Amino acid sequence: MREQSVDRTVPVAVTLVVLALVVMTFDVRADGRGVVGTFRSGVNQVLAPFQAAASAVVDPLADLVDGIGDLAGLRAENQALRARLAAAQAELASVEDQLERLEVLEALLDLELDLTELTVTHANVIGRTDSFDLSFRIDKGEESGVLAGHPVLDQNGYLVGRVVESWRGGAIVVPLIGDRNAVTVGVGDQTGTLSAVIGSDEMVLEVFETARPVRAGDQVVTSPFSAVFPPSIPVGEIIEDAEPEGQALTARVRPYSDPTRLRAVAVVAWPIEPAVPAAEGEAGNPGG
Amino acid sequence: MKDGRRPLLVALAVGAALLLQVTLFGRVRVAGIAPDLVVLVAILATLRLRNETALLVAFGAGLVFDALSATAVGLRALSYTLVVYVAIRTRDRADAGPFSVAVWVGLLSLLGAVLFLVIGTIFGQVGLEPEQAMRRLLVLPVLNTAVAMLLTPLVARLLEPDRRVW
Repeated sequence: MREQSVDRTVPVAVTLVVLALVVMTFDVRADGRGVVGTFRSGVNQVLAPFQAAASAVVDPLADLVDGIGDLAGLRAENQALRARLAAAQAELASVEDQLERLEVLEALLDLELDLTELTVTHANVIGRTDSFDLSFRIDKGEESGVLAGHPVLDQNGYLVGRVVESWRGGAIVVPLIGDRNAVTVGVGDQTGTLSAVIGSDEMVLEVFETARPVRAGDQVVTSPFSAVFPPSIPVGEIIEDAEPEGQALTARVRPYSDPTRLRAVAVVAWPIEPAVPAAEGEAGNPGG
Repeated sequence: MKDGRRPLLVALAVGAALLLQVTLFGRVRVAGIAPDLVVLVAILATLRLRNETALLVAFGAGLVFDALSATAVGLRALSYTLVVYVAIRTRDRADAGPFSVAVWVGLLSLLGAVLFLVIGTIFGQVGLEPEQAMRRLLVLPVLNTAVAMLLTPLVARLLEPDRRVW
């Protein structure tokens, strides 16, 4: 029944539009904190169990669709992986040699490397939002020591992105290719910033001072100068050769990790914080 | 059906749409794009709800969906409210059968995607390259039209079981 004695459609619509604009402005200005941030956390906390239950039901179906879709590409991917494995084994042999050399040098200089044990929390990817947003949700949150700002790695140890929101039972992760914040990275002995090209699966590396050429295949890793990520985490590789123009260099980078295909991730407690009490969760798997 | 039960049923339908959106359609996509089930349910709800209730449902659904994503809270609430307002003003021309409703849903989904992109860009929340944006604008309404073809009779029967529909 649509007949109404008084049509309040326009006033209600205008009120809701104004309210939405006000809420959005508050959220943008407060950078996700404040009342709106509390609302976001509350909604996520309330819906987390339902989402986990829904995931358990729909995941087999999604796996089936994924499997059918991926079947054609699996053979080619398998061949590419074999080639990468061979290259990695060759690189490993070289690294082992270098490690032996390092041990000798350490012994000679009586040095010890300052290896810091980081707390790593493994989490399942339980959902995404929509086609305009690359962020995804994981099933571990504050109770496991996962906090906003923590770096997120994939199963290969490649950098995926960072946690932007967490609550008890879950968190939202923004991948590098969807993040508006640049990452300080290193390529060779050069330091630069790596920025997302929103909507693209490639990123842009910019080195501003004393830039030297970079070559296709050069590895890009997080820099020791990064305030957000631990150093030396592999991020991606240079797609094509690039020459500096003046003192600056711009190059295209393909991240190693594909955030659309992740099923599980590792969240690193960084910067280092006091460990979460054991009784509170299963978080603490020390790792590299 | 009593009027009081419809908003409850719509709220349940919106909740189910949200869960499916972030779980099933978080993984199953066509050309990297998923249908927007939430706006679809909000649009279909205008066919059987009072105007004010339909607007509140759209606003609430958008707000909750915003909270589940990393974009600013209020972005989808705003675009869904505007889409449902247009839906209310145009529904009489669409309420003729599943096919016309599905096309109507597709066109309104296109409007929703355009509004989301424009408002999101103004607020610095969305920054797609033209090619990427165009692909989404083309594929999303087609997907929503296809899903609407399947869902429309179901939603109509759910909200008005006593009435013979289509």
